[in-house]
Amino acid sequence: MTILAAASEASSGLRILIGLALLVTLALVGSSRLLWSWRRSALGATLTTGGWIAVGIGMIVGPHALKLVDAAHVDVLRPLILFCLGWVGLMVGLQLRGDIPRLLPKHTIRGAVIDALASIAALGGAAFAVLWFVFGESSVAPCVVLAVVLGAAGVGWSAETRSLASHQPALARPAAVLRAVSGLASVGAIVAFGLMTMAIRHGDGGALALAGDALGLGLAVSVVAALVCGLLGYWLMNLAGRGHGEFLVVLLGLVAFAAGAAATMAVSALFVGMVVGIVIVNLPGQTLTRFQRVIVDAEQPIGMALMLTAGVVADPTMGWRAWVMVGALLVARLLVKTLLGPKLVTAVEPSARRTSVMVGPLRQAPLAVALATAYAIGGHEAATHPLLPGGQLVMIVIALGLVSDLTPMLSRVAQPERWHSESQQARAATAEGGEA
Amino acid sequence: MRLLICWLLLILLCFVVDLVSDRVAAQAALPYMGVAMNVGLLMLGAWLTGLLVKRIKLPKVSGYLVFGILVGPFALSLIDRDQRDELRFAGDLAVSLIALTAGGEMKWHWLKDQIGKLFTIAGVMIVIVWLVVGGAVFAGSTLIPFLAEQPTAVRAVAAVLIGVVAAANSPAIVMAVINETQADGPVARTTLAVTICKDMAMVVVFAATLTFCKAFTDEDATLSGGFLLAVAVQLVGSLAVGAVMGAAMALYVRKVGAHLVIFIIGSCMLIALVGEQAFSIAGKPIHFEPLLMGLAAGLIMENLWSEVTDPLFHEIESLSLPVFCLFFGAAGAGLELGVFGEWRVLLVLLVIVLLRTGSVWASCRIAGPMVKLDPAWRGRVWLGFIPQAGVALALVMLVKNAFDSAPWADQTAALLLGVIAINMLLGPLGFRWALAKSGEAKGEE
Amino acid sequence: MADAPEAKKLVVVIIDRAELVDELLTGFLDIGVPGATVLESRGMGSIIRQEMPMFAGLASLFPEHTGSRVILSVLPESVIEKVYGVLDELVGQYEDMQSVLCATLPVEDFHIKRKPSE
Repeated sequence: MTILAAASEASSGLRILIGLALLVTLALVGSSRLLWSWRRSALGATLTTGGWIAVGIGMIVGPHALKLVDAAHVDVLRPLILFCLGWVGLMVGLQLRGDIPRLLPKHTIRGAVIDALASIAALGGAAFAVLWFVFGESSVAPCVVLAVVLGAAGVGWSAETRSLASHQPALARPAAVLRAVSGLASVGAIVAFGLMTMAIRHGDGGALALAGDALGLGLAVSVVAALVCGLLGYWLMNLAGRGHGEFLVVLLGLVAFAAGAAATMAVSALFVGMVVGIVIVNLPGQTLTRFQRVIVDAEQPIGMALMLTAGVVADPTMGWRAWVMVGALLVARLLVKTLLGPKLVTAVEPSARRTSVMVGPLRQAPLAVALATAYAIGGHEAATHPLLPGGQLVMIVIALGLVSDLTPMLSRVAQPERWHSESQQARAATAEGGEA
Repeated sequence: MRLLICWLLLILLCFVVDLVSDRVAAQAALPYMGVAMNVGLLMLGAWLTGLLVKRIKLPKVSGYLVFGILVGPFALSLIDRDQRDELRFAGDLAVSLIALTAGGEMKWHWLKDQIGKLFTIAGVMIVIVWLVVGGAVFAGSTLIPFLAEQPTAVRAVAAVLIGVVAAANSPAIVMAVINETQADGPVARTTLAVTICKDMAMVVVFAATLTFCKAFTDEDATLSGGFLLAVAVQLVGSLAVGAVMGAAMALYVRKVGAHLVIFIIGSCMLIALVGEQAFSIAGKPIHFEPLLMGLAAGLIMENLWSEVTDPLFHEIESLSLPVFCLFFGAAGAGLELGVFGEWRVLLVLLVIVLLRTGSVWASCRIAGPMVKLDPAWRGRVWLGFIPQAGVALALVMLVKNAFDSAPWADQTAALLLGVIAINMLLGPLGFRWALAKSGEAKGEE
Repeated sequence: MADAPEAKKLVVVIIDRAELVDELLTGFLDIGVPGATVLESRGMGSIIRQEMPMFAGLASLFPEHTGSRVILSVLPESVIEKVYGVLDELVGQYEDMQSVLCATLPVEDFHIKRKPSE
C-alpha cells in the first residue's frame, strides 16, 4: 500500500493528527529563514507572499485529495482561525496611525479610496450579474451579500514588490507607493466586508434579509466593543509592564477575546480586530511599540495558517457556473486595475510610469483569500449557502488570485526588454555612483 | 483602581456581547464559535483576578480559580456548561506544557540519585491515603446518602475509587505556585518531582483499580493477563513517543528557531492529540499519556541538548502564565458546586478532605525519615501534596464514564469534584506558605 | 620612562530596541563612558521582509518596525567589562529582548584631531 493510500485509510483521529502536524510544521518552516533565499526570487516571492504554496498544501491535505484534514475538522479549528483573523485585522489596524496623512505622499489616501469604491462597484457588479443571470437567483439579498464579499476581495492589490524587481534603486519609490496604496485599500476591503456581515439578518422562515437597523446596531456595538477592547489592551499592556509572560497573556487574551466577541456577535473578526488596532496604535506609550512589533512580526506564520485553511476549505469541484464567475471577475478586475491602477500610482509617484511596478495593481491581495475564508467559516456562509457555498467562494477567489498573480510572469515573458532594460539602468546608475 | 476598572470592563463587555449574540443566536450557532471569546475572557480575567488577590496576600492561582467559578455556570454564567466542555483542550494544553516544563527542570544526574526516594515517598503516600480515605468511606458508607441503599460490592467499589482519586495530586498547581514565587530549593524540587512520580504511578494504579472495580461490579467483565502488557506498553510507549518528540523539537529549534511561541503551542496540542488516540494491545484499549510524553520530551531536551533548547524553555516559561490563567480559569468554571448545596453530602465531603489532609501529613512523616529527607524542611513538604486539579478531575471523569453513568457513580463523581474543589482552592495557600517558610520563595514575579 | 598608554578597543553594540537606547546610554554614562556615536540602522531581516509583506504593507514605512541602533565608542580596555555588565543588566530587565549584539575590536591608533590654538 502506498504512503498516500495508507494516509487516506488512516483513522479519523490519526488523520487530523498527521494533518495538523504537517500544517503547523510547514507553516513554521515556510516562514522561517531557511527559505529566505529562494523566496527572494521573483517566483518565490510571488508564490510565498501570495500564500499560494500554503494554499496548495492545504488543498493537498484537504478533503478533495489526501483527506488528512476535512471540512468537519475545520469546526474544531474554528477558534484558531478566528484568532488568526483577529490578528490580521489587528495588524492592519495597527498601521493606521493618526499621522498617516502627514507621512504618506499626497494623493495616496485618495487613490486607495477610489480603488476601493471602483473595485467593489465593478467586481461586485459583475458578481451580482453572474449570480442573477447565470446562477438564476431571484432573491436580491443573497446576491448583494455575495457581491459585496467578492467585491471586497477585489479591493487593492498585493503589496509584494520583490517580484516586480523593486530591489532596483530606481524602483524603490514607486514600489513603496504601491505598498502604501495597497495597505490603505485593504482597510476599505475590511470595512466593506465588516458592514456586510452586520447587515445580514434572518427573516421569518429563515429567509435572508439585509436590514438597516441590524447594520446600525451591529456597527454601534462592534465599534464600541472594539473601542473598549482597545482601551483595555492599552491599560492591560501598561499593567503587564516588562514581564514577557504577562505580555503574552495580554496579547493572546486580547486577540482571542476581540475575535471571539466579534464571532459571537456574528460580525467580522477582521473588522473588530482592525478597530482595536486603530485604537491601540493611536494611544501614547512605549509599551505599545512592543505590542505592534510582535503583531507585525508574526505576519508570516499567521498568514500561512490562514492560507492553509483556505486550501482545506476550498472546493475545486465547483461547477461551470462558478468558473463563469471566475471569468467575469477576472475581466472586471483587469479592466478596473488596468485603467485605474497605474493612474492612481502615477498620481502619487510620476516616475512609476512605464516601469515593471505598474503591473502590480493587477495582482490580487492576500487579504482577499482571508476575507473569503472568514466568510466561509464565520457563520455568514449559512446565509447564502444554497446559492454559493463557502468552499466554492474560496475557490473562486483562489482561482482569480492565481490567474492575476501570473500577470507579472507573463509580462516578463512578453516584454523581457522592459525588465532587462530596467536592470541595465540600475547597473549603470550603480556604476556611475562608484566612479564618482 | 485601574486594575479593578479593567476587570469590571471585561465582565461588562461580556454581558453586552452575550446580549447582542442572543439577537443573532440562529446565525452564530456554529460549533466552537464561542471558544475564542471564552479563552480570551479566561486568560485576561483570571490574570486580573490573580493580580487582585495578590494584594490580599493570596496566591494568584487561587484568583484564577475564583474567576473561573465566577464566570462559570454557578455564578454569572458567562460560560455555560456546553462551552465549558469545549474548553477541555485548555486542560490538555496545560498538562502538556506543565509536563514539558517539569521535564526541563529535571537534571538527569539529580534524578538518578533521587529516583528511589521519590518513588518511595510517592508509593507510601498513595498507599496510606488510599487506605485511610477509602477505609473511612467504606466504614461510613451506610451513612452516605447515595451509598446507603447500595449493595456491599458497590459501596466497596465506591470507597476504593474515592480512595484512589484522593491519592492523586496536581503538578499544575505545584508548577503554578513555584512559578509565581520563583521558588528554587529542595522543597520545591522534591514536591514537583514526587508529584510527577506519583502521577506516573497513578497511571498504573488507577488503571488497575478501575479494571478491578469494573470486574467486581460487572459479571461479564474479566481480568486478563493482557492487562499488564497493555499498561506496560502504555507507560513505555508514552516515554518513547515523548523522547522522539523531544528530539524533533530540539531539531526544530536548532534548524529553524523561529516563532517559538507558536511552535510550543502547536507541540503541546500535538502531544494532547496523540494522547487522545486509542490503540489496542492484546484486546485492551490503551492510549499514550500526555503527561509522560511531555515529561520525556522535556527531560531529553534538557539533558541532551540543553544549550540548543535553552531559548525554547525560556519561551515555555513565559507561556506558562497565559496557559495557567486559561487552565485554572477553565478548571474553576468546570467545578460542580451544586454538591455544596446538600448538607449531608457537604459533611461527608469535609470529612474526606480532613482525612486526606491528615493522611498526606502522616505519610510524609513516615516516608521522610525512611528516605532520609532533610529534617529542616521535611516537616513542610506535605503541604505541596494537598492541591488537586487537572489529573484528579480527569480521573473523576473516567470513573463517571466507566460505570455507564450509574446514579451512584455520578454522585460519587460529584462528591469527588467537591473534594477537589476545596483542595484546589485551599491547597495553593498551604504550599505557598511552605515555600515562603522554607525561604525558597523569591517573592514578586 | 612614562607608562605605556592603556590599549583601546572599539566597542560596537547593535540593539534592535530603539526605545532602549536612552537607558543604555545612561548606563554607559554611569560607568564613565565619555562619549559614543549612535547610528540608525536596519537589520537584514527587515530589509528582506520589506518588499514581501502579506498584510502589513504600510508597516515597512514606519521607523519603529525598521529601526535598530548601532552604538560605537572607543574605550580603554579596562572599561570593556563594565560595558558588558551594563548590557547584561539591560537584557536581564527586559525578558522579551531577543539579543543585543556586542563586538570589541582592537584599535591600533586613536587620535582626536583639533585645530591648534592661536
